Amino acid sequence: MTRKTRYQIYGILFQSVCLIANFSALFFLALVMHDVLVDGWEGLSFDFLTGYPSRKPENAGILPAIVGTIYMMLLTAFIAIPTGVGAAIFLEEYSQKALFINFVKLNIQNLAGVPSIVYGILGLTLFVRGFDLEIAGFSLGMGRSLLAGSLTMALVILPIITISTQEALRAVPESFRLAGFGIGMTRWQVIRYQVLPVAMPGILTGVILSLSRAIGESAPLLMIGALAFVAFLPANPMDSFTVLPIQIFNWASRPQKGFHDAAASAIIVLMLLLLIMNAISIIMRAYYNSKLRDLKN
Amino acid sequence: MNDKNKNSSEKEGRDVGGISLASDLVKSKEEIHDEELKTVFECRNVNIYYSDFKAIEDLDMDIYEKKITTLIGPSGCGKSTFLRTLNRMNDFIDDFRIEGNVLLHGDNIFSKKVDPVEIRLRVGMVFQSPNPFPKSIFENIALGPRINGYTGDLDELVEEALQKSYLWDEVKDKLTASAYSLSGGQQQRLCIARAIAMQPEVLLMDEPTASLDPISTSKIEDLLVELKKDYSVVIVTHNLQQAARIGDFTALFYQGKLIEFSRTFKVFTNPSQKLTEDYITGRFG
Repeated sequence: MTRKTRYQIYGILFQSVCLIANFSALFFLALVMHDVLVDGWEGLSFDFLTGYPSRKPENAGILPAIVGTIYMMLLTAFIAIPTGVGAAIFLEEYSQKALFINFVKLNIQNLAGVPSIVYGILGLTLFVRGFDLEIAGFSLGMGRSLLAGSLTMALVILPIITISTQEALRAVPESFRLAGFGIGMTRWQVIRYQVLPVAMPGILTGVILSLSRAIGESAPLLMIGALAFVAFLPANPMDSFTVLPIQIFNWASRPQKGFHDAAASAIIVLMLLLLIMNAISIIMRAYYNSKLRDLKN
Repeated sequence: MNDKNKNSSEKEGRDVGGISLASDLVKSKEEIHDEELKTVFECRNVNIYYSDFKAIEDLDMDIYEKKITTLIGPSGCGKSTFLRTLNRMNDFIDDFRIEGNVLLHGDNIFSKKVDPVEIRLRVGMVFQSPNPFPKSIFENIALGPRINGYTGDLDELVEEALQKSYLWDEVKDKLTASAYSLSGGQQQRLCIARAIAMQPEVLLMDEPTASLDPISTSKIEDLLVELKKDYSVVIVTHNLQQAARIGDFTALFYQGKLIEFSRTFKVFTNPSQKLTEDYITGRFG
């Protein structure tokens, strides 16, 4: 066997290994989808989507969970996006090169790797109980409320938003910034008119991907005690609430087969929501990219 | 050997790098007597450091009003550092430190009271590779004045800036097109127009033609000679012929020191330093 053919065989072997890895990932995804669809498809009805939780599996619905999920996403986004994007802009555009700043950057990376249940514990102490402190008879804690849950979830995704925004900002060519400074723009003007428009697709992608992580997180919400049986829709941020993952977890842990099927139906709804969010992210990125590309050639 | 070199350089005298300097010589001789030079920048005892590295040493130099000053010298000699000092673009470099005074019409631009943005509004900069904003041609020029509260007619301002940079005829029908649809040379002239629109006093150019073809280069050179009617221009170039063609004054930098600073025709025909002679005849650098 000549040298050349031996290397060609290595090439084919490597390609095959990668192909098998790809297919095994797809295989298990298909398996999960199949399982969920078989169990949950039948239960997916208008009554299920608009119904409230019930003791009887055939009457159970997920409207409070859907509404709770959407409310929580909106609140979380409202809290986490300005904070995370702002932190990243400060770190990349304003901060000087200093030991302390490097230390902060390193720790944000570490925070992104902290298990979400730890944030749950933090949220429980800080937001739900407010350190058990009282001022003039009022507890500082927010109880097991929508707001406490959203704040906790915002903590979970803050480092992810910050890191992806930092990367998007770093990808903006330095020459754009210099061009702005060269004609006497202030730093704010350079960020506003040069950096952010170019970094926008990257920032949006990061933001939406982190929100789609938040939508599926259950551990921190279990920790702060989001309820599984909520027979009403949350009317304000201080109401108690439930979300889809909690509802699924609750139903799946019941002994009745009927609840297991309801859990499967809820999983389908959750996956659809995720799919919609990812689709929005792809469309937004494509839109901003095409806007930039029009201008780049 | 030395004698032979000296002879040959004397012989080359008026024809350095194949460029005739005869007209410059005549013109400049007249100017020496006729005109009064006004300084824009005065640099006194300027030392510049990047952490421990001394990039500029003991620099004393003036930049004159409505003249083209060309900065030449081998790579890493400090000429770009000096250029970026004049509008405080070095502020963005970590570990940058300056001693001494850089006076713009008598005011130290490194004084604590001075806002670097003010300086950059008065002293515009054009970079080595064309870097238009990722926006339309019109917007590239209009953006700066608009966000700085320009109250006049933006259309007029844009047209004037494009006229001045000899770009108007080429782009007047496609002002809304992307700046990136232009050729490299057009993009660079757009960048010059963008700087002009801010109505600065001085234009700094860091090798503005380094990435351009000869035709675009000569267009920009013509433009610069035209621009010195209204602006003081400081330009870094690696192209000695360019320095000789367009310069009124020329400064040679070598290893952070200002070796020679004089009228361009003198630097190229009768340099006072051996180092200058060696550099312009291509014996090093």
